[in-house]
Amino acid sequence: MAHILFVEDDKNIFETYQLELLWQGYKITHASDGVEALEKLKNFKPDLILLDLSLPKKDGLEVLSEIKGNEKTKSIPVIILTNFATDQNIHKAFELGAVSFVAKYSFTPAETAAKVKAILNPPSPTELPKE
Amino acid sequence: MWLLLTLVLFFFLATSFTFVLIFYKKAKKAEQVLSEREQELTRRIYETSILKEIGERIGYSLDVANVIEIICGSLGKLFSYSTASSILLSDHKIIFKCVLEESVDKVFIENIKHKMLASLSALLNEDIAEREMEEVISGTVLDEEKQHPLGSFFNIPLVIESQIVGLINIASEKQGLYKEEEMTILYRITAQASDAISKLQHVLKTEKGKLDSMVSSMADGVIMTDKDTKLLVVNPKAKEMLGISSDKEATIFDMVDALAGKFDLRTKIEESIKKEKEVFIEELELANFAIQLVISPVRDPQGAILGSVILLHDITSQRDVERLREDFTAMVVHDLRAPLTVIRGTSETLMLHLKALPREKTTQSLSMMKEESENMLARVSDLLDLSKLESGKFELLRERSSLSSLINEKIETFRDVATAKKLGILANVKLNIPEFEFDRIRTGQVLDNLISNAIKFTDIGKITVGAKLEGNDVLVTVSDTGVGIEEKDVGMIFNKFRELTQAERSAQRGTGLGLVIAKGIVEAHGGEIGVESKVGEGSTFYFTLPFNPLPKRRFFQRSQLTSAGFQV
Repeated sequence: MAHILFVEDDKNIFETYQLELLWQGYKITHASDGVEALEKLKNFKPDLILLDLSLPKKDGLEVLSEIKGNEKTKSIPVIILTNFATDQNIHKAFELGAVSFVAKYSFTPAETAAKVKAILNPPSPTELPKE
Repeated sequence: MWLLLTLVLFFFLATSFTFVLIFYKKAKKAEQVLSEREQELTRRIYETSILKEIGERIGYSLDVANVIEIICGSLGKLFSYSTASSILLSDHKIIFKCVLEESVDKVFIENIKHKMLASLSALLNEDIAEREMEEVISGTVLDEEKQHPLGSFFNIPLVIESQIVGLINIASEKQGLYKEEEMTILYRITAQASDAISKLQHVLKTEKGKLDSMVSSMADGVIMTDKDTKLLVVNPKAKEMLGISSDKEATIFDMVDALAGKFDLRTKIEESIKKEKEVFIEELELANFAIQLVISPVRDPQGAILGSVILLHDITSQRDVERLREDFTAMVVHDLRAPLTVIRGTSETLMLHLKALPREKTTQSLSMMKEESENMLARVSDLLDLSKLESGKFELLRERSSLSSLINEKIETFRDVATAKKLGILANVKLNIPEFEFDRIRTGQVLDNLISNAIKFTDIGKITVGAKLEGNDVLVTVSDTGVGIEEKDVGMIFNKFRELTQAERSAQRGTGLGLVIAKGIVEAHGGEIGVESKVGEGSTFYFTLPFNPLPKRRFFQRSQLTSAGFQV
């Protein structure tokens, strides 16, 4: 099953989303700040990264920029998961190469898990709904 | 008898004739005087009317060249001449103009020119013959056949504000034509014109001086260009905003360069002039300033476009305040959304998988929801307190109570949290503090905030809560052995609108308004709050509560009363 690196400093928010993702069968590795996230990426390559923006030590956009600037990690899809969904942040995140931007207040854990699934297993052409 | 009669008659006739003759002669002379007087009068009236006409035509013209042209063009009515010429000193050259009333040859004109240059050089005490010269010859055609010599001429200097700026010359082929009379007339006309220009220039200089000092002392940047976008005026503030050195003689290109990449100044000025419309730029971010920019076309009283005025309005501080306000709103929204995210997400998961989830997971989820609901309530209370403090509706409930017991109570409350971080927590309260009136719940809130902050920012060591008497106050201190606060942040720490980086924001639990509210509570008691800190060594937050239940400043201090001679 797919392995997700979940970078989130708020313990309760992490627990909330983790519960649903675990239920769906994903393997989760947690990092609670930006530095820890980059440190963990040196040792393993997750299939997907869920990244918060407001993080201690190194904020999410900086972490994203380093992930995308590194040959080893730049191909990993990154979903931004935040409550700071300002236009500026959204714009910057996509510019830096985020694959999706999820505002915590508008996506429940189940909806977020569905997004993760869609990115990890894109529907094959035959599965696309007919127009 | 007849002879005698004839003789008498003859005598009579002869006498009569003589009388008539004498009378006639006298009458004739009187008539001549009268006619001369009349002529003189007519000439005077004519001269006056010419002066008036010249005066009107000159009007408010400040253009000396224009004035000379008007004078030279009006002379024909006053006396006869072949040429009316003028020399005008311009910036670096000499303008020679010659109006031909009668045809003359080139030599005649050259002759006049040399005479005028020599005269002007003598007046200025400087040889000006070498200067670059511009020549304009107009009027009747030149006639090279004529070859008449210069008969008579005179020069009248042109003086503006006590400075010789040129000469007017009247010349004729005829000899001995000009006497004092003609020279006086022209002198009078020239003097009148010079006087008018001098006065106008003086008024203009004064007005320009006023305008200049006004423009340079303005808090807004002002730039003015002519209609070909040539720079006419730029005040110090505009230079400062655009980052142009104040002692540099700036050009429009410096302005355009300073705004390059942000705003095409030249095109916008041209657009404003062409469309005769104002151009307004609401916000422009420069290196050190945020500005508003207005480009307006400038018209003369007749409505013709003269150029453009560019006003640069400094909105840096408004922009900064606005940013802080936006940051604060974003922070509040984020802090209220975080607990709601957990509550909604967890309840969804519970609903979806309630039966399948292990019991311990369900319990953990429920306790998380409870914790976040409490967080949420605390944050809403913080915001409510803040709004009460800001609107002056914050009220204290003072009761006689023991501060020592409150401190001990709070230490016990936080003991578990401190112990979990392996931190010591202890009280250092002096025994001589009597009970006094204060708001026990609100003061407890201040202590909660200071102690929880101390624990949060300390990894090794201990938290000490102290209290002692100091003058008419009780001094409470909360000291830690934590990370400390950087000096630059100390002043801002009790400020609602302080700038926080994402990382700092994230480290804050709650709205980060705790200290702002603590300050409000302490000040409502009439006390003071503050902090002393050293990075790496720890911080000591302190606050005072006065014994006197009413704000101190309403009453005289005991010492003040006794020193004023009162017995207390």
